[in-house]
Amino acid sequence: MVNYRMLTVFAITTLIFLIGIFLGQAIAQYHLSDAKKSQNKLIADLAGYELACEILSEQDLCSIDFTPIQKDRFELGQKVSALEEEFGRNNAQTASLSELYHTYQLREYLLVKEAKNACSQDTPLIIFFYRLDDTDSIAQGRILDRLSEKYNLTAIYAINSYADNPAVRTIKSVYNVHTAPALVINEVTYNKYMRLEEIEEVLYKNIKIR
Amino acid sequence: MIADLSSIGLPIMYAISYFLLFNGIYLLFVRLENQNNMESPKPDKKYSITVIVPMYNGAKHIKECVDSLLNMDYPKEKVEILVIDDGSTDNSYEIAKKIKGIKAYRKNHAGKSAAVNYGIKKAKGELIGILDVDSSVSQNALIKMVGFFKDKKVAAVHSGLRAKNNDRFIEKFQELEYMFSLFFKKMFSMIDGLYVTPGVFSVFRASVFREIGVFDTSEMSEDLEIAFRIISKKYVIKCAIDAKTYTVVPDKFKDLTRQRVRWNCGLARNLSRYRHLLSTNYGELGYFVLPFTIIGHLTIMVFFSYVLANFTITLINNLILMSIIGVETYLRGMLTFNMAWGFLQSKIFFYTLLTTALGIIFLYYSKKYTGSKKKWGILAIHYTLYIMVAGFVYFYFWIATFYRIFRKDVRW
Repeated sequence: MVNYRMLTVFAITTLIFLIGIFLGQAIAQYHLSDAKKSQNKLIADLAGYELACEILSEQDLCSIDFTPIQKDRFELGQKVSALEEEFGRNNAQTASLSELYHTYQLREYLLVKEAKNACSQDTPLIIFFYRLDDTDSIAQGRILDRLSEKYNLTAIYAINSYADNPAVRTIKSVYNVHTAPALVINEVTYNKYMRLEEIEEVLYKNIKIR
Repeated sequence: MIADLSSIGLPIMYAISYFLLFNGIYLLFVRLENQNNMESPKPDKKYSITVIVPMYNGAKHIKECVDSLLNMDYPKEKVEILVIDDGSTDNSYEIAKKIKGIKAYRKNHAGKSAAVNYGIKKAKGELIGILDVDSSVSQNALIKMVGFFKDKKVAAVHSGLRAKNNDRFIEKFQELEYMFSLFFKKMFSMIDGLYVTPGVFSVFRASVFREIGVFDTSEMSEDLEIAFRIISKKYVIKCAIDAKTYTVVPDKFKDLTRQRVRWNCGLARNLSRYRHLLSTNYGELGYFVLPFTIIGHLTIMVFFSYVLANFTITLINNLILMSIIGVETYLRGMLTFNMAWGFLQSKIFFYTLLTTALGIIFLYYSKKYTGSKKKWGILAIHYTLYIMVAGFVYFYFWIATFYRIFRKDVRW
């Protein structure tokens, strides 16, 4: 005998379940498009900064404050990480977002470095090369978070050392990075994990902490 | 770093969500279809009944138990009360002997089933009720139960069992659990899927024992085994949710664990022994109630094994991380942890919302039909605490069950 209750409940549950999956996907897509919007805005902002650097005289260039885009970039980084968690790192959309984010970071790094050199600024510039799912890299990331919080540093760029990206390969080659974690602090390469005190010592030796 | 288990977490959560939704919606349908049948039927006649009280060292409870039986709203000439002392080492038999209106017997200690079987042999009633000595019945409990026997296929009736003691947290936990459980048993009873006849005043048609035999004395969960045997013969068990009966629930976690280990062992053993019941030949019992009981227990085991494994891996990874970066940096990192896209936007939030809503609906029904006098505010707090701890507690009971089975240490 056919149990119509069972069939009805099966149909309703399946429908609700599919609605749930659809909603979940819709929320995830919203996150993705939100991150893409943030990234597009950042890219546009960076282009503006780049253009401003070209237009302005060297003296005026030194008056540019990069902090706002650096803060936005930090937030975007968090969003990209969350998306990688949500969709998986092999997802085509998040992989593309992540690659663009890496490229963006390096462009910003070059711009800030140019301004720093032109203006003889003592702002610390740090590139952090990490490896995914590696305890030392995670630990180094936490150390840099602490450093950033302690000294209000915004010019720290986290790069996946194994990202399949020509810009990443080039910068690694330029700075002779051959392991992860590795740090490039004010253009000096440290192919090792560094404790907070070690980084502070390097920064204290070279710059005046803000 | 140990790889975490997040990749298998989502499929597990989807499977559990589907299971809970299906189960919840099914029972909601059963409730809506039977909204006018929740009260027990009126009896067509006053059956004669023998109530058997098996007793082992029950001196503390026997008076209250028998008094409740003597005070039932039922013709006295139709009620026979037999107290069977199973070789108590205290003075419970002497106490029982002094109570007027009952018959007390004493036999050598051989376990509860043997005591009940002894009583069944002596019973004269058309119906046989069994009441554990630490339990009692309300005045109208029996009259609410006998009406079900109008239907010839009804072999037994389960009473509306409630927890008697509710002072300590562990007792409140069981009080709420019994309340929920009673409502679900009523729903199972509506679809002829009830498969247990607890010792707290289950009433049997006496002729059924002649047909299927008496209690199996080798069984630790004899009330479950006899119920499976009844169902195997295509009889049904009904639940009289409004027939209020009360039992003393364990007040120590150790005692509760021992009780649940026994229940789990009994369930596993009898499901294996009566696996032929998992068939469409036995209606919704065979293709809904029993499969979902099994899946429910498996879900608890799988989900909490996952939670435990994931927690352990995360703990180890975090300890490694803390040993590298130092406690202060680690703790500061925890405080600034990115919670921006938290649980509220997760993929299973929708299901969590729906299952919570179903849980609240069932809480409402459970309160309504069990006649709980608890205030909603108190009940909401108890329910929240129950939801938070119940899964872990049941998982622990299964771990304890496997451990005891492994050590061959399953006792009463």
